Amino acid sequence: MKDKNAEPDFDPTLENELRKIAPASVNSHLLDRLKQAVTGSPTVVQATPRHPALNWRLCMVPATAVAGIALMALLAPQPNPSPISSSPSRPHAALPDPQSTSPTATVPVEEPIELFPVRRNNEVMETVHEGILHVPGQAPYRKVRVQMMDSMEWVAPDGATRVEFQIPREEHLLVPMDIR
Amino acid sequence: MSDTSLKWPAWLDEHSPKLLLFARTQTRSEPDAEDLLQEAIVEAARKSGGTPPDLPLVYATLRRRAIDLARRTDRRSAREEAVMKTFESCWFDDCVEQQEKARLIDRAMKRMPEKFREVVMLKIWSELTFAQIAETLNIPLNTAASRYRYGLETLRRDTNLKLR
Repeated sequence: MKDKNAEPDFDPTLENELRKIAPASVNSHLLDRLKQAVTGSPTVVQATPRHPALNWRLCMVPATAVAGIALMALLAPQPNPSPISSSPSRPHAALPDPQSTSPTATVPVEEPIELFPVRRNNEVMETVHEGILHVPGQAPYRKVRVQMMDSMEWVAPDGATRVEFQIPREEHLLVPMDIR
Repeated sequence: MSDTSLKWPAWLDEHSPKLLLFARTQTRSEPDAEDLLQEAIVEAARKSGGTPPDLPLVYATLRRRAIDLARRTDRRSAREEAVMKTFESCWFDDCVEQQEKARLIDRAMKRMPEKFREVVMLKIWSELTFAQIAETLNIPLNTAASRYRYGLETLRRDTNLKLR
């Protein structure tokens, strides 16, 4: 393979070998972006997401909240439990009638529940030292991966409803090393 | 669809890999390289009246926009990203039969001083002439040629003559 511009090679063997290695291909997402950008397509051209790893974590927030509310509705204490014997028509194994026994069921669904924050916690679950990075001409760095769990909790004043968020988080830290 | 619109897909298929390669050498992260490439192509297309532009114009635009981007980036992130850059994906097509060689060249190119690397990139993979490289990088022609020669020497030394 020769230089297409017919300029003399400085090191023909090396240059020929280099020309045999093609640049990495462009991914289809970027290619679509470029085509849309230059042809003036009305579709929205999105930039590359900078933190794609965060997406799945964000999805967990509403899911955790819904699960928390549902769990609390099931496990909430019953202030006036009706004796089993008073309802002979209901077998023991059956779930209580939500209209008559559950405190949360007395609140209409449309009525908003007022919650107050009671706890916020950042807990380091695991710290992994992933080795030392050597870069020519620079001080070495220690690479540390830290896995954390951020948790927040809100409760209703009557204690009947509690919402807890748990968001896993991971950070990669580069810690400069001081070598003497 | 107009004739101009029909020309773009083929132009992008042919040239975007080598343009992206150059953009990667000018930026500190993959998302920056992709955004820079898009901005440069759009700007060059506007200058050429909506038709696919001449490659030297796109390279010169890429280079100028990369300098602007670097000025906006703070020093701390520059330091950390420079460290992470060593561990990014391969710049070259590392298909199975060329995998070892591609990775060898990839590592050597990433270690090479930038002023040599950009000339080697433009000469080998972008197939520009020394005159076009000089114009793109705003350096004298002789400087472009000498940087290319030093770049090749560095590459040969760093790959430890494993290229056959």
